[in-house]
Amino acid sequence: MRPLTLWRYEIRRTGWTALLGPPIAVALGIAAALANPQPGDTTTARILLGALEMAIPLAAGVSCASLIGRDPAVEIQLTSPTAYRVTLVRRMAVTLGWTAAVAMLMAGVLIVTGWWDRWPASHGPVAGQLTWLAPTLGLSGLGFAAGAVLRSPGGAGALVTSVWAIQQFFAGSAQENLPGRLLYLFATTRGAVPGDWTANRLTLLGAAAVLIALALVVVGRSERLIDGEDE
Amino acid sequence: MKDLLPAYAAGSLPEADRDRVRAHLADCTRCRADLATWQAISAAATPSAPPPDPASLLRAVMTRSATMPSPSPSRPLRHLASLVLAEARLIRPAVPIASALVMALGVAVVLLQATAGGDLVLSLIAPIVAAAGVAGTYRSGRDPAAELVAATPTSGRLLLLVRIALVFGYDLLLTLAASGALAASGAAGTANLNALVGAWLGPMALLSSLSLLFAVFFGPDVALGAAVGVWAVRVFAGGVLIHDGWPAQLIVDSWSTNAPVLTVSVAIAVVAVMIAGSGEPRDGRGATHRM
Repeated sequence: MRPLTLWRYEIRRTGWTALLGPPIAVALGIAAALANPQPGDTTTARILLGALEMAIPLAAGVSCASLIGRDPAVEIQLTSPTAYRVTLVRRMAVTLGWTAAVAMLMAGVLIVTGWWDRWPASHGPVAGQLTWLAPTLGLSGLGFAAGAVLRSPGGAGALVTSVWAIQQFFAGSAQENLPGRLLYLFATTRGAVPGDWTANRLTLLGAAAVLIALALVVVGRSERLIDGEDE
Repeated sequence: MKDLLPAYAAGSLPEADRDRVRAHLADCTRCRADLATWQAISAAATPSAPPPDPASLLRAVMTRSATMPSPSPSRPLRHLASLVLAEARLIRPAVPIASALVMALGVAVVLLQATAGGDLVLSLIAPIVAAAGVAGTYRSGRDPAAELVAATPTSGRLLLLVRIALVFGYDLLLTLAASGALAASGAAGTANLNALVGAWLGPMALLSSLSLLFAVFFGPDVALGAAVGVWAVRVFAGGVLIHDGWPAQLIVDSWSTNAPVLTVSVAIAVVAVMIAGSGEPRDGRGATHRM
């Protein structure tokens, strides 16, 4: 099979949920910014960056949580010469690649129109891309690992959403200690201790790498995948 | 001569050979006995009546199965208990374990963080846990036993109801247990049991019913994504980004525990179950022949 054909197949298999999630997240952020009742550009800019830092990572995290457990041809996949973990990494790359394309497009529009700099806690156009990249990879790694361990897309998706929601409402509690601060997902728009932002972003990237590696180790035990959730 | 007897018994010999065999049989008792055996075999192999037309046979069977009343179980409660047991065996242990883990995470957050209110944490977690579980209850054509289910006298609606009762009931009991544990612990910011249950019951019912409706129409993946999306809007409206103005207030009020919310939740669930039980599984593939 030619590589292009393979990637086209994986894009088709990704499904509408993963493809529509990031654009809908962006649309919700823009709608919230348009409906913002508070005066001033600062709060509007915060909502727009919030869509990048909060909504897009959630969409990617839930999509990655659904990668394991609903493959109707998993037995065939496990008997093919290509390792199943390679297939899963390819599917994750499709999901995250599409998410990154949508996020970079929105970030580009915000930078060009000047909304990016109107939020005082924003960072430069290059380093500032970690605003969406770090929480996206963090939540995606969490979803992928939870999916590999639980083999239940519903359970893994619920875990990702719960962590996301708890961090939304308990920003103060999450930042009371160093581990909480370093693993906080929304350090750009919900505030971070001065000087912690870069460390927070790098810690999230490192956590994502560890979680994805853990998931790939777990997925390597193919007998665990045979009785995966079939719905 | 003996070699010609099978063909003679089957009536496939040419005229000349047939006369020759007939003349021989008149004088040979042994060949007459052999011929009797061959004639018995030939009679057994010859069809007595033409086979029925396949289309007519299928139509007759389908008509009879459609018009005959389903046998009602003599012991309804025992029948229901066996259905519950059978459906419970189909739920993989990972699903309830995952729900319990997420709920334990919420309880731990309340107990470890002095500022976290138990009612708020449970109202954030319980709805999405239940909705994610319910999203997987309607499997339609992806159910490995879809053809069998479609062919059994037990209604697909009844099976779906049993499955929902198991999944939603488990999450309900789990959250009740978590509420009881938090109320008994007296953790900081935790209200009494009634207030705790009031914080999550309405949102849990509404989000689960919406998840079921999406699952019936679009499948479990879209249902999970839609439930997460709807719940994210609720979380955003609860004070993070759009905490002022009537739209945010309307969203927050819609996700509370009161009679209208519970009534709407039940109505949505009833519509979903009615749609789920109407005819073929909704994925474009028929499980049975059309008449």
